[in-house]
Amino acid sequence: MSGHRGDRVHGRRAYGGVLVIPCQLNEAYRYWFLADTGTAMTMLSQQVAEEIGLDLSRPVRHERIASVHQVAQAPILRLSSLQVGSQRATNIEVLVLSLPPDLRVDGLLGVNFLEQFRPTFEFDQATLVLR
Amino acid sequence: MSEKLELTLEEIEAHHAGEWVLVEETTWDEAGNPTKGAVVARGNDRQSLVQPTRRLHTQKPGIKTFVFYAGPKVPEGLVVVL
Repeated sequence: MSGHRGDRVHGRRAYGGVLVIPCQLNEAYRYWFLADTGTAMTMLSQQVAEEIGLDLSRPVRHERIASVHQVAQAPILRLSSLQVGSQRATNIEVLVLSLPPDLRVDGLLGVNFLEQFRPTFEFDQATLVLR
Repeated sequence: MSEKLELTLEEIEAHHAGEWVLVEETTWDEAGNPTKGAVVARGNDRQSLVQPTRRLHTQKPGIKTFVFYAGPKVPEGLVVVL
């Protein structure tokens, strides 16, 4: 993890009040992710995994995942970096799963990233503060 | 290759409303957030940008890209419960 502390990362409120945040992967690829404290592990869409060149045939391992309506298996891979604002986590594990096409974000920013900071959600400002 | 038009991200959102866009970032603010970019590819569905994104990064190593839907990130009426 690197970068100075106390970043205010401006995102957007989407329908229902959820907060979406721009995230940069491997120092080159930026996408909107939904910030989700109910998601244990940061998740990428299969399109993102393909774009950034993750080899889905060689996952670190598989994990059982439980969402509100199903339990399934999903591959876990590793990013060299995930950066939000100037706060960066390196060598971080991510799940790769299909996202509903109607959901126009490319991933979920989960607890395995957020727990490395002291995150504060300022919903009225559409801002995620990472200390 | 012809030079692509540099636009603010807000202009890109407005010009390509309802489309997925692949943007090559060209200008950033002090915090490193992109402020301007050039649209390299666009499409009506997310999958259509996968190959253009891979190709662009292969052709231009070191570039930074932003792929996003130009419009509401969660459509009106879709309640997210993951």
